[in-house]
Amino acid sequence: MEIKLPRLKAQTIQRQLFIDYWQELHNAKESEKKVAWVSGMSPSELLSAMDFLIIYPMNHSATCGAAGVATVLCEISEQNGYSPDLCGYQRCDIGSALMGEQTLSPVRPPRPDLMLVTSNQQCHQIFKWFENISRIYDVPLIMVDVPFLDDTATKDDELSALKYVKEQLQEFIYFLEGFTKRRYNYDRLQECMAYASAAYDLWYEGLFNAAKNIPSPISTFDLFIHLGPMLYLRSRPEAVDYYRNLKDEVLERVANGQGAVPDEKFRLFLNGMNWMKIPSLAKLCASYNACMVTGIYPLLFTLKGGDISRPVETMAKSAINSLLNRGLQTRINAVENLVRDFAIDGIIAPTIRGCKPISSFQLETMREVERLTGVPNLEFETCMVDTRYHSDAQVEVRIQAFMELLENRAKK
Amino acid sequence: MEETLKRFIAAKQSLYDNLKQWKKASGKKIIGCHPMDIPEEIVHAAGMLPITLMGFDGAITHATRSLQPTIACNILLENLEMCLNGTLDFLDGVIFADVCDTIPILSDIWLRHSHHVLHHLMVMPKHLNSPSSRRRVSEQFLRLKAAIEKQNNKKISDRDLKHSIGVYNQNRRLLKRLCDLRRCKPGLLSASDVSTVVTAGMLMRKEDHNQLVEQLLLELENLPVPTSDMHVKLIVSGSLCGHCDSVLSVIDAQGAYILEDDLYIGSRYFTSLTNEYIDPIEALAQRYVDDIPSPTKFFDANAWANYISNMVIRDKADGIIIVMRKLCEIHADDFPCIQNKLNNGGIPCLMIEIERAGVSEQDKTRIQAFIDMLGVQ
Repeated sequence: MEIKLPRLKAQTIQRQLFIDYWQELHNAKESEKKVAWVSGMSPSELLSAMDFLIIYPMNHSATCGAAGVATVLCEISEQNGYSPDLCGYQRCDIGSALMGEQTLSPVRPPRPDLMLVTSNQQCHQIFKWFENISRIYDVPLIMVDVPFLDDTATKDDELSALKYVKEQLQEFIYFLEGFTKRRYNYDRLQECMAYASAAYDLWYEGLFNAAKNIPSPISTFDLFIHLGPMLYLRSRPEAVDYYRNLKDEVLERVANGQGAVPDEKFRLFLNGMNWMKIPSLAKLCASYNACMVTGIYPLLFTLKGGDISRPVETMAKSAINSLLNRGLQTRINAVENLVRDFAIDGIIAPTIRGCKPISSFQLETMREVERLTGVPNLEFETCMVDTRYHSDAQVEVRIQAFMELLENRAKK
Repeated sequence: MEETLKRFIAAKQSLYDNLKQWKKASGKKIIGCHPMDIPEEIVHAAGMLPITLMGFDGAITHATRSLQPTIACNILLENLEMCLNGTLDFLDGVIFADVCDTIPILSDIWLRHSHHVLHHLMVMPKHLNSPSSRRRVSEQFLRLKAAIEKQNNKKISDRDLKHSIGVYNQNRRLLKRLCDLRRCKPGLLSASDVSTVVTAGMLMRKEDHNQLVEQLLLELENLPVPTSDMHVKLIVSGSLCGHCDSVLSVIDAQGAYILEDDLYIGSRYFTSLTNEYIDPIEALAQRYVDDIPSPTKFFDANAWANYISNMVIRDKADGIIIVMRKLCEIHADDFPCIQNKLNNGGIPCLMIEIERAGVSEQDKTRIQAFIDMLGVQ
């Protein structure tokens, strides 16, 4: 029997917000606005403050995945020399760019005027991805290098990393002044950061933390879906309004004891990135009365609050403190804490083909978290958006076996 | 010449047995340097022996519990295996540089499972496009120096560092002369021979290696150009972080010869010299920045493609073989740009992917067919 999971009403509002935003993007030329393609964890507020419209290529690839065109776009990039071992998001986005006006992308992103990439997800591939796209479109690419803080990093290393990132952000601001031929609008930057910070606080309390309730009013599917405004509208009041409404709706579910999954028996944690099968995975788990209540990924795309009167420093701190920018022990601690705080029964830990920053940590993290908490995990291989490297049948069998394991543990 | 080559082969094949004996006899420390981009001169100046960790041929039974073989390349898995199975217990320390996505994670995993006294990850700038990023190179080299000094409880003087730079520069000059001989006297040295000589140098004192290479050069320079029907001239590029002996032996067997390369266990290791007349840390940093293009450094998107293409044109090579290690994302990401450049220049190019098992039978046939095709043209 097909499981239907209750949708939050906000999802319908978000759909319209996106239709409007993408219309704005497609009208950018007429309205004399510039378009920037930006990596997912970049301080896009720096660009919004100078009236750039933002596109996130990672999100674009996820959209292509949801629309069922990503695999073909990946094949296009492979025909042009890109290895199938590379990240699926990258291959998809590059395939779309190579197709130009003939792209299969459902949103047909307008070409960038400028690209910004940061390395705080510790992904060399994203640097290369953006480098390749900037070459295809022949546009400037700004790279902000965020040094990795491994398990041996000291306070001095943190301060040195912070200083370096601040210098680069300031260099970027000078570049923007030259590029736009306007003085940089620091007041507007603070305004953008205030909206982003307020949106984050509402998202964190109203959505992310709400999942601590038993039953959880939301699932990981909701966490991913409702990330959208945090990315695209983070510097605008619309994001604040959106998450305020969303928080009210979720709190209402909490008050009514309404769970995202009817008759929630098991609570699961997704230790991995957004990928095409989240909706079907959520439904599959729900068929076993299991709710994927939370995960690591959504925490990565947010601007934690800080001193908005010092915007460059706050953005630099946010960049170096991102979980993906930290070593193995920090990740183990983060997952352990979330597992305990959210009363998790099991962890789903996919190895995402081509995604080294997340997948490489997976085995060690899961083994250690299980040792510390006793919570078992399930591992399988999949891909971000390329259906050739995912087997629904295999995942179903693995999930079934995992749920049987959880059932048996519950009986003891 | 054969006798001298045997000494290089012995050093390469013994892998770590010779080193353990040397350590016992000398009482000195040995530091494992994970490929690539480690400024070995700083380790050498501290009176320690830097060696390169270049994987091994044995069974992998431990490493895949920590790193997936569908995520990590064979070099990382093999080195981690040696860490976990105790092969590298004799080391006094390890140094990594975050040249790819997986090395920072490898470093943290290694830290959890080993007990080396010195464990250091160099966090190098991802790009070299700004004054701040270039300054960061010097900072990271100073940080490594400070970590070694703290561990040894002894300062590394500028004088010692300049001396080490001199020793390494001499090694680079000697190896460059060897490669020049390979180009000028085709048939005298095989591609595999050169790889053996360079590899051996990564597993012994540079002073000893310098003596051996000088000896070999003396013997070679006196030999006439052998008569051979080797007429296919190749450039070989890539194979980052490790050797590609399985590819080189096919090239040798097929009768082609290599004019120039930018292989890690090849010219990449020794092409650029360090300035011996300025502050030594600044000199090492300058070498890092100005070294031959590398996909580990984002300076100019087309730099590596232009470098490779220019090698083919300058040396009038017949074609180029690009060796890409499976799961090496930094190389895989640059390859389309390189391929376009070569295709636009009408330069015949063959890309071969290598993994743990070396080159596949199918790819051996492709290399042979490529060389045959070039020979006909």
